[in-house]
Amino acid sequence: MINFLLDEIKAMIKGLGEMTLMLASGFSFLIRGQVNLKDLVNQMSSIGVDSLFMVSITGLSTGMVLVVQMGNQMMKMGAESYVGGIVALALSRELAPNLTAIVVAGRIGSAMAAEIGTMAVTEQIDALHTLAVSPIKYLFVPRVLATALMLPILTIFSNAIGLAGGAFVSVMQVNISLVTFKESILSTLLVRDIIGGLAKTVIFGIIIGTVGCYKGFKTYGGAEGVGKSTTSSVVLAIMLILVANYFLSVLVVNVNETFFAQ
Amino acid sequence: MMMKESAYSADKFNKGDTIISVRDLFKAFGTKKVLKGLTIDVKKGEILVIIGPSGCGKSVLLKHIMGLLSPDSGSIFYAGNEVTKFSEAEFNLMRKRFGMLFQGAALFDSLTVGENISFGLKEHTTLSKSAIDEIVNEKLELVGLPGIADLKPAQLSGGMKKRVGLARAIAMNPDVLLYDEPTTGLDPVMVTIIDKLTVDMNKKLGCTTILVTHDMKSAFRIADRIAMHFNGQIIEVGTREEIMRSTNPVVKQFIDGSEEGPITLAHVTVEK
Repeated sequence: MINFLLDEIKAMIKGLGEMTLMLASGFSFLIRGQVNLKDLVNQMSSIGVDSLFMVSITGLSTGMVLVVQMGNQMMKMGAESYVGGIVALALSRELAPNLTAIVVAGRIGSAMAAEIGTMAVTEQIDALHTLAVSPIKYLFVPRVLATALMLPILTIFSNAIGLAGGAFVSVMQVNISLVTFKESILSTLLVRDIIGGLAKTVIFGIIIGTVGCYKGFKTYGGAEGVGKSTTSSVVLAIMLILVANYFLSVLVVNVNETFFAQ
Repeated sequence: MMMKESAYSADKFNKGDTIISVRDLFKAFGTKKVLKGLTIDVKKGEILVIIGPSGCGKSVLLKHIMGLLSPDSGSIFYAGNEVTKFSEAEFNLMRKRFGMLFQGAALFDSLTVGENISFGLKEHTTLSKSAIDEIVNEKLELVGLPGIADLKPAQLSGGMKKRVGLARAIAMNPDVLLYDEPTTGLDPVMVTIIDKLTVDMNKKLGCTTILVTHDMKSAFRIADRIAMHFNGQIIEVGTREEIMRSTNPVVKQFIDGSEEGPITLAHVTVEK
């Protein structure tokens, strides 16, 4: 049992090390400007199109449920003028970035692992090598860059739709007026709350792209192997996002307090 | 270190000179020893066919030559350079002089046939689109599949995929062509067509050919020399006639395809 756990931990540390090396190698292509713009745009558009619907539903549901859960309580306490602000803060700082990242990890990270995994088991990755083209440059760089660029954009959508959902429930179900809801948001939410949340999603995007590609490259054993890679890429990406989120949140809070404290 | 592409060219060698030399190569996957001190020389311009039981590590040897796998010990030389000490950048210079046809053709299924064939040209040359299109058409013509540049690999049959794979492998006019089981899983007519293409490519492009197969008929039809791979080593090398007359019990059993003999199920290892 202990040996099994030790082996698992060793494998995980090895995996993290290899992913870091891949990122470093990808970064070296990036700073030398060796990015295929056509591939990048293709990846960005497919990430956006494929996940927009899921991201919207998640954002909408979160915003609506937040108000359902706390609206009436706040009304009873006479604190209805805080509802909009609380929803906006919760969404922009934590809920929209995290839930968007988790949805995209499930939708896009898994698709990357499956696509690259299939390429690996059908020797297409080897074929890239034989054509003297680096798979890191050709497959990894555009995918990671596209996820890192698209995740903040999707999060902005999620924020907006979440707020709209919250406002809808406030007006229709809790009887908070739209003006009160809006005033509450404007007096509570700061631009740096939104920026802080979006900054985290850039890192989450890098995590999703890197894990998806890494699991793809490491695939072996035919269709079964592709299935395993796909599932494990989602599990690992979500785990890393949640762990990273704690440290990034601490960082964002500290940066805000250091540079913007009144 | 200065890297010049010319250092990886076979031009300075004469036909018949040793161009690739594999020395004492060892490779194990986990506890499974696949190559156990394999040694062989390949001469410029020849068709060397490596035969051996399925799963004995023939493909592993090709992947070592291409630098897709690195050996546990031993060395490989190409055109006087020690391949096994290459950096990735040096490998890439060498690979531009090589072409490889994979067992399953390994076409990029997100690209069209034309894009597959022109992949290396687009990455490594500054040729215009029309010049590249011309090369694509010429290579498709060469493998007997004119006019299919716009199809996707999923629309092709197994034999067509192999021929497109071959067209991609020869797109950059390589010095060395490696074939990994090119006729496995094809019907007898297609086998003959691929065999003929292999010989044609060798003659027309003047490239050195290493072909791995367990199809004895093909081997005898196309080979200048045949090497028998067994138990992680090359146990016999010779011309077609020499191999046919071999008294080595392993070679005899393999040619006859008989069940009785030194080759048993225990010799079939798992290939990576």
